[in-house]
Amino acid sequence: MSGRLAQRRAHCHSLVPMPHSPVPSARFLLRPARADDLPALLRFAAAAPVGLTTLHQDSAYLAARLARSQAAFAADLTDGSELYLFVLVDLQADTVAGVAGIEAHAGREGPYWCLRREAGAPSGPALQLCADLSDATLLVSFHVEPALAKGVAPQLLSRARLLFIAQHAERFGTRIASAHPGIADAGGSAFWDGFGRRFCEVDYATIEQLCGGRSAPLIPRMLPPAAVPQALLAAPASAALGRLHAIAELPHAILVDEGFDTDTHVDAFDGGPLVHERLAMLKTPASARVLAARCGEPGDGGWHLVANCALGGFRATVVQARPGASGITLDAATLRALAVAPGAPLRVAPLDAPWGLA
Amino acid sequence: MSAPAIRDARADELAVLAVWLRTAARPPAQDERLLLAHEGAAVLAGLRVVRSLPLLPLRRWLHLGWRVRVAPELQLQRRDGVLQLGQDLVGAAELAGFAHAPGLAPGAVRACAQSLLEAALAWLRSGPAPDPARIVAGVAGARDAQGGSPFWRGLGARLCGGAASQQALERWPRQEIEVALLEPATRSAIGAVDPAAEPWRAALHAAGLRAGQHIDPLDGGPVYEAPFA
Repeated sequence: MSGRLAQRRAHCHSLVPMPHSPVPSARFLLRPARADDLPALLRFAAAAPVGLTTLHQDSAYLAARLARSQAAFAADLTDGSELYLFVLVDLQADTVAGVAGIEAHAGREGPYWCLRREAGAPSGPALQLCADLSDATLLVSFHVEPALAKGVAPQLLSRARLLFIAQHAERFGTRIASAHPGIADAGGSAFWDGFGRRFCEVDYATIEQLCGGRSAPLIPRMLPPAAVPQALLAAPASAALGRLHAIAELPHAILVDEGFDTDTHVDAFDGGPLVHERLAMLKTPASARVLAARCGEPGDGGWHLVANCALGGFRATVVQARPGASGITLDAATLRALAVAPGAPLRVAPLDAPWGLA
Repeated sequence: MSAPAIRDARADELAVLAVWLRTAARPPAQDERLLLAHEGAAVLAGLRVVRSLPLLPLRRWLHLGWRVRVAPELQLQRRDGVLQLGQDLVGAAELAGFAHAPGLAPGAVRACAQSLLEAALAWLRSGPAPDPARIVAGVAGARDAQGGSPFWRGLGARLCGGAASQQALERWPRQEIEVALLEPATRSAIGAVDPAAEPWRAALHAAGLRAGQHIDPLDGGPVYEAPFA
């Protein structure tokens, strides 16, 4: 037995950090956010667009969200109002490199208002204010360091949330949704100016501040209850309908690859796309298997998302591995990063995104 | 000008009316009259009178209603117009298609309109009441320099495409249309009267009819109404 292999085997039977632990083959780790992640969240919020209301630059607001998230991960009993925040850790650089979250139910404070795109009317497509997605679980607050945008990191950050939801399905809706920021900035939103502002004379930044969660009771009092023919929108508003803010292109592309429906709903304020689909129909949860953790040489193989089955101790990573019929072999450092011992169940899903993962 | 005489149109006079109306002038149906104002042999103006608008051909109007928006959070209190296409006035008595000879002086037009109205209302009120018991009369909406309707261009053409016609209205949405979404030129054409129709409007006003809550979906012109009694 080589010295390296002996060292790996010895590590496999201990979860106690060792003074000279080898670097795991996994570079990135997803874990629940903690209070001391606040500086990283503030850094991300500074780069987020106006429309990403769940990540705006307010220390007290973000600290409260972190506290809410920690309570959710610790809770045995849930009422659907929970928020789960995860951070992406770059194990090589030892930094927090991204954040993403899950709102257990979109309509936790009341109906979640958005616009349904209706087709087929003789006068052409129309926009209908609706609460269709109130029972859906919302994927929120996605942000990754731009330098990592082209690799596996954003894949892990986005898709591992689906493994978490699949593992703890009783806490979530059967339908998953996500609102992606539309074309808007500090100067306003062309869609809002041509639609909502016609009924209330309030600028975009103000309405985002007042109704960020999309459940404010004033939304149905303000916006038209009847379907609005798209043909009546001014040209700039019509052009902004369903279009993405540049910062949302990556998370949107990942969810499109997962199989989310992108065509039926848009945000009522900035017109950005609102994707949704049943969890069981999504690529990662549908292809995931629960396998036993094994310690050893992972061997060459394709990229895989690997998550433990814990709640508060949830960990996920992305590695190159070759899963077997009943188990997956990972190196000791990766098992340690995942906080599992050999034999523990791991939820494993292939990662076959069509773009570069290197 | 003294009041013109009034009589029913003859079949050979329909072609003249068709030119004035820039549309086909059909012979009067049962419970309809086509009245002419004339001075001797000179036909000056015409008006169609219908005892009760039939179910067919289907006619539609836009009802102008209101939506009140109140949001203390925004210090918002406002009233917005909403337009709903419907057949509210089917069954009512109608005064339609007022047309006059080209070049007639405004005073003469007004006198013709007044005489035709008096004769039409007297005939209607001599018969059974329509259901609904109302008399309605459309007034032509605003036109641009090319004779087009800014109202149709800003609303109907966007929703239905093509030229303004009752047939095009088949594509009109069934739901309410929020006036706040319309461009200013379209909004200001709601209920606006074409200057050429002012004598007709004034005669209706003098006869006790008033603009109600309906407009013509094809040009936004107001529908004047009065109780039948």
